[in-house]
Amino acid sequence: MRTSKIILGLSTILLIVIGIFSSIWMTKQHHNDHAIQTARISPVIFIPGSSATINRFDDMFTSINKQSKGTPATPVLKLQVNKDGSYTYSGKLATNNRQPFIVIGFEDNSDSYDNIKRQAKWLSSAMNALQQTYHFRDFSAIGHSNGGLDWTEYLENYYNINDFHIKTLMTLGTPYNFSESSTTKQTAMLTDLMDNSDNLPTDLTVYSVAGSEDYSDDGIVPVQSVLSGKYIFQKQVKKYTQITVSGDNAEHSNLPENPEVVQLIQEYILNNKSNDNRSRRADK
Amino acid sequence: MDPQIITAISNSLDYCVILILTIAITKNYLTIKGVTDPTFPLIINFSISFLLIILNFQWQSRPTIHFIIFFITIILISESYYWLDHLFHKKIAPYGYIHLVWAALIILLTIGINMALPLQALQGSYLDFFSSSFFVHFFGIMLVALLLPILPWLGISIPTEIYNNMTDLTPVSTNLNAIYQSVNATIPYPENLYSVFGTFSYLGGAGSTLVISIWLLFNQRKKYQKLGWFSIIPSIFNNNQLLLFGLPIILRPIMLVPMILSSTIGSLIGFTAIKLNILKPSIFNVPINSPRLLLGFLASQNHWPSLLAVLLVFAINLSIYRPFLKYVTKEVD
Repeated sequence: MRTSKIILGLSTILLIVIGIFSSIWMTKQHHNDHAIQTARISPVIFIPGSSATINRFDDMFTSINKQSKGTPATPVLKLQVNKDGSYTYSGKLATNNRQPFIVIGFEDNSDSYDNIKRQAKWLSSAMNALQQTYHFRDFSAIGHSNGGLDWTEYLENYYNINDFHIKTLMTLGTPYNFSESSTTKQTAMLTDLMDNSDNLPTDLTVYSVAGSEDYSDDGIVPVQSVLSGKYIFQKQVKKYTQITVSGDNAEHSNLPENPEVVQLIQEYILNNKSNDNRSRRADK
Repeated sequence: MDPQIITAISNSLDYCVILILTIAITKNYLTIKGVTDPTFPLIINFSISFLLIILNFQWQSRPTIHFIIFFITIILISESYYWLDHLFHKKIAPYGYIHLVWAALIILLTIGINMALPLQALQGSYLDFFSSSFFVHFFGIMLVALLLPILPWLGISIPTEIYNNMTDLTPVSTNLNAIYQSVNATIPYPENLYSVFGTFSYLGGAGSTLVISIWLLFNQRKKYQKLGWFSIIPSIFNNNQLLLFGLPIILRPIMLVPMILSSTIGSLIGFTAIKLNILKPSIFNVPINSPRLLLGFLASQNHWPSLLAVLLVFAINLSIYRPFLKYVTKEVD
């Protein structure tokens, strides 16, 4: 009987301790959820490719800001995930801008499938950290080169519709089949991405932009490898569009500065009112 | 800890329970029937349970285990072995070809039936069903409170929408959206399965069985005390399987009475108190399997009267179960 009394006492203490901790946690969680639900910002999040730093898109941002004269420059926040998993921030988001830019880069930016898997995991924790600070739920994503692979890997393995809502994904010269120019030879990465494509959000709109210098590649990535994206996205997401740009700046590394690409981003992501119900309501 | 790991551990424990039950039922059933050496049917029943588990294996999502299906299968197989033994007047050599033919037939038959069974229907989602507007009215909620305790008593799995995904129900998420839009919003469905049944009628699992663990702690007999020791922590986290099999509760008519009584009285008190605006309803998400004693308090944003109301229901449950447990613990011996 004595043991029973002790067990009952301990259980009661356990219950009280759980109660106190849960109550604190619930209050915090509630404030956070409330802030996310009522958040008005919907950032555009960029990921650079291998060997590139978080400053990769600076020229592109300058072009975009130039085109939208008269409006204040879009605020840019840059976040680098270091090898030890810590973050280095630069820049700041002004909360009055509804569609700010965020660049997420990785200190370890080597080019391999293993590293892409690692980066996707880092991306997931970086997204959670950003959400904690800026309380957004909706976002659009742009990935240059392997940055597009990071997004795809993230959407298939880490993205949770209860926490986030991605509206549009645009990948620029993303080699879904690495440097393989034949569509019949599928790399392990492409096979994995195809196998897990069931996990992709069904309401997502995807634009895959390929650069073409000489009909076969953009100088680095074979066009066929970019086109392999169809095996992953087609019939899995709401809309999948393949676009090929050419001209002077269609070389792989120049894709982000290519005027056509800047135009596409303006048109499909920044001005896409149909994607943004809140701003549409505000316009009325 | 990752919730998926916790699910995996608890799933493995559920599967272990099935395997142990298989051995216990086969041995007891055949011994009572007078079979002298039940080793062979024991091996076969164990293998069949194992095969069924592998075929319906769920690692990271909650499995729907209908224990009654396992009971019936095991008893039917044991019965068929008994008839085989009887037919040949116990003259067949152990592990002889007749035994082997029987084993092969039984295994093929069980696996065949398992594949033909509409398992999808048994494991389907009841989210739309329980989200319907019927279940935000008095009769709908009381019907659930009245009928739900019968499921575990029969050995049938409770729909997950009722024990851990309750906030997925449409009325609950509509409430949550309303409150997120404006803190002073009028809550569209104050009385629903989550705020009434989930908060007041599920203390320790279906049938509010947490009080059983408490009473067993103070039972005169050592074996019941021990069951109380082991079952109290799982009961706090709404798992009453140890009590279902240990006391046992399953298929025991007398235990169904207090289960239904405490479930309906809990819902009745909860519904009335919320309807009369005495209590704030449970609205917010709490972590899966949080102790239900705390649910009312936590999910209504630390509303103390909710905690007091749940404790009142708990005290009533204690008095409901007392005479039945006294009778049951005497009856068994």
